Amino acid sequence: MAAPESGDGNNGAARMVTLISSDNTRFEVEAAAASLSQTLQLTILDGGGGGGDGIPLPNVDSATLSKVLEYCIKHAPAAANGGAPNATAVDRAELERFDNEFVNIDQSVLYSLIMAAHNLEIEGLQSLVAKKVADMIKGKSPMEIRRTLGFPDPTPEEQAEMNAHMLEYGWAYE
Amino acid sequence: MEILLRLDSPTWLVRAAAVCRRWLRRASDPAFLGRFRALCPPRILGLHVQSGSCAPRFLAVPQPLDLAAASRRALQVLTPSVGTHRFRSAYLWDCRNGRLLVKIYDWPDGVYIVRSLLNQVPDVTLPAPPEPNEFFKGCRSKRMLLLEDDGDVTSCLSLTLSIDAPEVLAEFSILQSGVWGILQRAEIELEMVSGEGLPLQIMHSQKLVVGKKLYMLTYKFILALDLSTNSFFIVNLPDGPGNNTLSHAEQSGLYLINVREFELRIWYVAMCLVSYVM
Repeated sequence: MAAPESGDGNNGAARMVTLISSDNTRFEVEAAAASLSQTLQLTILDGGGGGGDGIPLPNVDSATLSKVLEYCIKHAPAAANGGAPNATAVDRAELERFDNEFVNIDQSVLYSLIMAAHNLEIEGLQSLVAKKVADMIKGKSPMEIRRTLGFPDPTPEEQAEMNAHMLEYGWAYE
Repeated sequence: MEILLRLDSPTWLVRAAAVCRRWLRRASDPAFLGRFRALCPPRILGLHVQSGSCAPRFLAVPQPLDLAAASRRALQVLTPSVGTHRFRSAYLWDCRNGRLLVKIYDWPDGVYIVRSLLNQVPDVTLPAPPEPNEFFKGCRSKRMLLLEDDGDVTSCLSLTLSIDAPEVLAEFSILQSGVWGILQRAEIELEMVSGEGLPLQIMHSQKLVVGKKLYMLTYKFILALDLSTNSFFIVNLPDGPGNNTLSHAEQSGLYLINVREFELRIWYVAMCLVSYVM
């Protein structure tokens, strides 16, 4: 999907930057989209990432990065409008539909996204994936939550603490 | 901990807190809880009715599914059931943030306990509050009020008001870490015409503690007692006498709610400077 001109596209073509994933794949994206990441924004403002240089992201693999960028490209126009106060209801509904579909993914991908959104400090993505995981654990028992999130089985000591907690807060488990 | 923040219900948060130590630590952090409350404001589980000498009654407010169990538990704690005679002779004095201050009447005299509304933990029995030591010829009333928690579940205030119009004497002590402080006293002489019903009003007034101040609502004014300086002061009602009631404000502070016909007016009393904001 082509991103519309962003606010700083004053010289015709939008400025592009190159991002390099941990497995050495190069991604070329508009600076406006990459700037959704607080960490990247600083580098980009300093003029980094242009030309043949590229910004290395040693903590993000290519599969995750392409997913992250899919989110950024979709959300960049709204973000450029300052949270889109004048966005139409149709635009907002479209973003919401996109978001819902976007997190409808494998758990392993979801967890890599959590880490990437955290490392790259992409606020919207962070809350989107956090909400998805929260929805996954709502209504589950502590043990079910551990299994859902792939935590190792609790040690006997941890199990005892869990039981004590469940006894004290019995109402939360009815 | 963005995930825990988005659980939308205290019930799911309590469950998540049991998942592992790290989550428990996060979920118990006051800063985190403040953010959680902002996103998921506290809801009323039910109303507690205490009329005269009748046993307390709890009326549950209909709840969404995730809070229904919490409401049931509260109902259980507050509703006397046949056979538990211990509870039939109990009187609820105060209730604050899930803590109940209950007096249990038991021969030869009563004992105060702090009971948790939701947690399955044993009641905490309070040491007997200090007796007022002054002889006073007027009428006298005793009151016990819970103070803000701050991790000390039994922190509370014991107050004896002795009124011999126009003089009002307060003797009070604060229970901290399970030990009653030295009995303090404060006096005020009220401006009043003789025969006025004010003394009786003060005895039976609605009393509310906010921070280190106790507010007593009468039909004329709010009589306030500063517990840190042992002094009384008077807060005038912004709109004169009327159908008023006091309520805790969200953070620290006080609401004065006035009902006139179908109009509900609410004033906010800031903590230090006593000004009204409507």
